[in-house]
Amino acid sequence: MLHSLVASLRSGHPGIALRYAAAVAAALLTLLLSELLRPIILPNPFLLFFAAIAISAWYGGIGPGLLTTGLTVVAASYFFQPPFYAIKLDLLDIVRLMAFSLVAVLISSLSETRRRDAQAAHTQREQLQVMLASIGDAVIATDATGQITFINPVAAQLTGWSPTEAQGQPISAVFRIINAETRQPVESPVSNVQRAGVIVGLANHTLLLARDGTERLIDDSVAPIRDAQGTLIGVVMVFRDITARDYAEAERTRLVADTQAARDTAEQAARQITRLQRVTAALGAATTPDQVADVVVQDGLAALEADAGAIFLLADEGRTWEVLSFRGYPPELVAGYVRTSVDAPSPLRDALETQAMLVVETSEELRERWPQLAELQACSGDAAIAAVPLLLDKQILGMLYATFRAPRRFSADDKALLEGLARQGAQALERARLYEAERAARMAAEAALQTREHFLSVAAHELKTPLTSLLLQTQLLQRRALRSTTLIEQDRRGLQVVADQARRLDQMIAALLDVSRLDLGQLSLTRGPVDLCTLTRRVAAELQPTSASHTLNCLGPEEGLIADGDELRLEQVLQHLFQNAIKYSPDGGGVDIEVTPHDGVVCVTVADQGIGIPEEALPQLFERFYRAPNADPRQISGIGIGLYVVREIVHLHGGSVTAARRPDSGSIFTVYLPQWTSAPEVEAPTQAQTR
Amino acid sequence: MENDGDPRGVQPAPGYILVVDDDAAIREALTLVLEDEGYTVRSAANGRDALQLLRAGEVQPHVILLDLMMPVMSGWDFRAEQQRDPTLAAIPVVVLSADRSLQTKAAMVQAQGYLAKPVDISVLIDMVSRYCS
Repeated sequence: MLHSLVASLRSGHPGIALRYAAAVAAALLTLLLSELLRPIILPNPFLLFFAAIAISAWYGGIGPGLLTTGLTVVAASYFFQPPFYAIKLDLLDIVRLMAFSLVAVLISSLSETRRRDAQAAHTQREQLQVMLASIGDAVIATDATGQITFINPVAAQLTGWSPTEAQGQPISAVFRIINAETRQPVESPVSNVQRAGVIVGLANHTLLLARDGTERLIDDSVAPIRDAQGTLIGVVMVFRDITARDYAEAERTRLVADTQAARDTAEQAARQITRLQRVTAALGAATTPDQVADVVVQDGLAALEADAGAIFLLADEGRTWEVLSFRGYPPELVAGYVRTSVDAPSPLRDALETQAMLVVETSEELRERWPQLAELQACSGDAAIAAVPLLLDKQILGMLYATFRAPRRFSADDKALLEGLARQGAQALERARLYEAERAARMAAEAALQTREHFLSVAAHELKTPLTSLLLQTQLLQRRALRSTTLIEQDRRGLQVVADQARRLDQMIAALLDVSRLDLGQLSLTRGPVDLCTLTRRVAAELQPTSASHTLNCLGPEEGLIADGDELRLEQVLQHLFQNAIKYSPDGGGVDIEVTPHDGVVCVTVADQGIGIPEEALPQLFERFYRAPNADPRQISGIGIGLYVVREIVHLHGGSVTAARRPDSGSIFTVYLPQWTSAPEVEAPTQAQTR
Repeated sequence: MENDGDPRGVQPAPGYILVVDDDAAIREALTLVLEDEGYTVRSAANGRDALQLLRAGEVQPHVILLDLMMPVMSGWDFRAEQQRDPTLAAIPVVVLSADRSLQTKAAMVQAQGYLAKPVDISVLIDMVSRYCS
């Protein structure tokens, strides 16, 4: 009971029973006191009871107040109203009691109001205390002189001062702040507020020094506290630890910047790659040195974001510069460089001497290194330049020159790009030069071929005309000589020699014409069944009279081995082979000619006993104008086209021809020709009938 | 052998032949060879002369030996004129040329035969005799 009473008193929130008990007690105590002071208070018995009512109402509220009032009315009527110790009320007494009751009720209600206000204020203060203690921000309040009146747990923790210790301390002792960058003490915001009287925030980057020396980045604001009259009675300061936030923010900013930088680099790299690819593709299509230079200067320098550029080539055996292509320079400036000596001082000369890339990043450096060019430089407005040798196999073809209007730091990437561009350019230049040379050579060769063809054609025609009359007249003479008795034998032999040589001339002309036709692909075949047995025998019989010392032996069947070919052309092939066999057997002897069937092909072998073919001559034997080294041109005439014509005609037939040395002496030539097969539509019914 | 030689040399002309060639040596050689065989031979240096000769003459040749490449009027143009002229169109023509694709060209001018220069005497005589028998 006593405990709860004490607790209630302390808390200021007494229970209802206690409040009424207190009212009764107050009434009884007053009654006792009034009885003791009876002679003094008798004329006004309610005097002391006003105090009891006021106390009851103040402490317990209106109810206890009214209770005390009621008890007072009863007690005063009984004890202090005549006829004393009995209740007997006249009208005046009743009026007096009612007046007292009214005053008592008034006192009770006033006291009640007062009590409620006090209770509300207490509750509010309590709530404020709890709130300030529980919020996440640090709070310190001071009085008007700057002495701490309140510090919440967060502030206590950040400053390192306990609330009890901090209480009454000057703010400057507890809240010590410095500038994070300069580390100079910062004026306390409290004094600012005291002076200015308005809400003040801290500058950025303020460090709070705790009692133990810990530094924390804080963010705060300070506000004045004023009383009802507006007089400054203190300041309240709210602050928080932003070390973590600041770090995170810095980290985020750094990440954003890094990402942006990486993206920029990647985009720039992608742009450069795209441009370089475009350059590479364009260079692949460029076929002349001029086109190559244009590509490098137009597209390549764009990849570098150069404002102007040119390709210089070494001319006059490396003594002067020639401008192959340029972009972005006034033509008159370029004209000044045409055919300038490589020895004239310029970045070109220095890069040529060192055989390495030369870059200059500022206009000051340009002026300093080449004062002679200051005028030119002022005219073109160059601030940075790069001169890169176009190197091919350690030999300088020329120079890639790029200029920039703004000073420029050449990064490793820039230099790599320049090197790459110069390397590609040099290779493309060389390729274009070779291509041009090759094209010129090819055109010259084609022209030469045409000229030769024309010459051969005309020559053959012109040679054949006199040959025609020569042969006819000779043969006529021979015929008449047969009828005449006046000609002696030597004359007849002489006539025979003239006729033979005229024929030989004719054959040579024909062979030359054939070579020309084969070269131009103009020789075509008229194919049909060709009996190689009869053909070889006929050609051999025609040639036999030309040499008495050789015997042409036709072996194998007399007829029936049919090849698919052009009879006139195959006759030519056999003539060449038989004539060769005779020609390369200067000591005479037999020539064995044999036709054999061989698995879908017909073979003709021609074997002589002549000088044979050296091993080393075999691979080239059928080449045009080739002559075996063992054939002495003074002994055995020829121009080396017979076997070439043989091979070409046989190949046109889809056949082949081989040459070999015979084990003893002489050579053996074998021609393989496709066998004649009758047309399928004729063959098909025959097969059906056979089945 | 007798002094008079081969009997063909003295026999009366078995036929009449017109030789058209711009080369005088060839004209002469052909004339000599064919006359030696007993033919009557007339010659012209180009197509225009040949046409004049044909239109002026009373007797038509049995065969014309025609060169293709000639100045003034080529063998091609002569052949075209001849074929347009009904009185001359029927005369057979043998093309005599050094041209490389003689066979094709002879077919193009619708010649009855062709001989490649230089021509062998027996081949020539054999060819001419076909039209004069």
